[in-house]
Amino acid sequence: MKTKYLSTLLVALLTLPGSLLQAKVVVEFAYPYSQLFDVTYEKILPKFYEAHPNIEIKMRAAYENYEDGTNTILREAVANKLPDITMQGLNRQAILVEKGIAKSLEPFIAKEANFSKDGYHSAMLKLSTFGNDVYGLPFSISLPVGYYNMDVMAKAGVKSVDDLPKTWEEVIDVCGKLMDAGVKNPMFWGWNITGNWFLQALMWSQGQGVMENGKFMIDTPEGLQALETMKSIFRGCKMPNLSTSDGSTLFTSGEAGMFFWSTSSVASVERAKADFDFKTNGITSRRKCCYDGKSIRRS
Amino acid sequence: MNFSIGQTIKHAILILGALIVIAPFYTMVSYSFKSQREIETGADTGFFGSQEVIIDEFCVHRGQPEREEVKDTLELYPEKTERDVYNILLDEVKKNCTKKPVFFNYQSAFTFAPLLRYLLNGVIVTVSIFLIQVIVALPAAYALAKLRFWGRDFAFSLVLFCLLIPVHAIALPLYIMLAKVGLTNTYAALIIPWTISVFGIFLMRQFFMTVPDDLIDAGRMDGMSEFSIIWKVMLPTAIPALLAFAIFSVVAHWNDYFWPRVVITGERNLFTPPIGMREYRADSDGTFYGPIMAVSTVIVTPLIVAFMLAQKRFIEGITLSGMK
Repeated sequence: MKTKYLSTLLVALLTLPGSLLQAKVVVEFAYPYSQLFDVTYEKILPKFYEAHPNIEIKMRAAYENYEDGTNTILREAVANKLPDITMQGLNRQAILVEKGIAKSLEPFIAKEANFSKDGYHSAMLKLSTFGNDVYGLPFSISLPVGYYNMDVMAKAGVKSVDDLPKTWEEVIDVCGKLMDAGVKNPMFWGWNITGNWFLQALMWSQGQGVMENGKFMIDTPEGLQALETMKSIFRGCKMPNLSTSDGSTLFTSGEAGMFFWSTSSVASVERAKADFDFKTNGITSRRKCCYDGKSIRRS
Repeated sequence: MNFSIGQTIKHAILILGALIVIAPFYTMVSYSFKSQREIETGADTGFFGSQEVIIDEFCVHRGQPEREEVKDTLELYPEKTERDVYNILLDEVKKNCTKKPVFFNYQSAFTFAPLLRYLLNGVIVTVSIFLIQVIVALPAAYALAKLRFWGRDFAFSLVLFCLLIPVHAIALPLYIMLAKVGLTNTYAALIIPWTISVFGIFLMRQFFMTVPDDLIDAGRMDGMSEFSIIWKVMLPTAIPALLAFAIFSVVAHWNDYFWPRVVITGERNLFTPPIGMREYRADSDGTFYGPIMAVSTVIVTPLIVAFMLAQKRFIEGITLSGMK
């Protein structure tokens, strides 16, 4: 009961300055992937209002995906109807900063008493730092992960999580076995635009960032290696050219044995999948070791 | 009845064509009854689906037990772990969130986004567009068909030329113009670009060509002004052609996805039904096909009903104006 008392006290303290101010500040906000975030924001809002009664949040219509989000912002910038806060994909911030649409958060951060202790770790802030200024704050993060239909995988002799492929060569090898066993579409690998962080992952795992000083580093041995790896995966698994959502359906319908995509789809796959044993597993890179601690800083 | 091979083949081809056209509608209505799992796995469960009870995940997430709740319950059952209590509470929530797929789909169609508001917007936009189109097209068509003035043929060839311009080609300049005058995210942005319909002018001009001059001359002799001739003489004769045009105009703008999608960027209250449907899409992170199909069914129903009612007039109108 002690904790409860403490939290009420905090709320009372926070409401006090709010009640002194009369006019409400309206903040317009938009986010992508409504299926993913609607409930999250529904739950956050009352708590936010409790803490900041002088602010009103006006939700705009959700963006379909990150690309739509950036497109919408670019169009709204022309019409001068930008929202105050927008939730964008990590890899789409640069264009908004370059065009001067995104504004530096430094003046606001300077006013925060305990910003560094509020949970914003410097490594996370670096992801949204351009020049020396922070332009965005991290909200959600997902990671590349392997989805496996263990029932299908059994056809290739993979019986347990320990037997799951550990390198891309092994993935291709399993693909071959599955196709021999009559599986037409053994795998989908999220190469599409939202998933181009798989390309990033392939390059980072070799210690090479995708962008350096405003240049796309595909023209490097590591870039070539990444593309060669992708080519061998696509050819070796006879991967059809599908959109990610169709690729996901390929997996949920019980056809594909493997689906390499973001952790964010686990819930929707779980919701829609046919009756099969579903497991996820980390993806290992081509080479044994990978992350040298420099890559993030370079981005 | 005489049996004729020619007629039979003709009808067989027509029936085949009709089946091809109806197939997507069949799928749409059928999917609107089915659960996500049935749709994504393509399970063969007939037109109405198995109607096996599903758990509404949104309802579960909303009711997810809060930490406080778990702690309070834990005090009542000290022998259980926090995880156990959480699971018991969650199961309770899940029990209250089970639904038949058909209810889930149609219920989320109306609750997930303000669909009724979208339908109202659709009505406001399509009706305004049609009315203004008529106000512009009728006098223009009358002048092009019945009045003699310098440059008439040139004006008419301009109308024909405009018929050739696809809207997508001029969408960008149109958007920038509207943006510069601050009209994006308004009803005006949805309506203004469509108020002058060259197709309407062309269609009505072709129809007016068939109206005898004597009718107009009689009106003039009775002292009617040109405008009262348009509204009191030409308009009533043009009702079948206008109905045909109405169907074209209303269907095109009721179903239009492209333009509202461009000019309405975030103002939910201005969404028309087709872009409202977008709210149920979330790419690979869980597009809800069932509710989307339920929404589509709701959206097309008024159009189909309207077409059924006006079918006879519609065909009359087309043959009257188009085939001459």
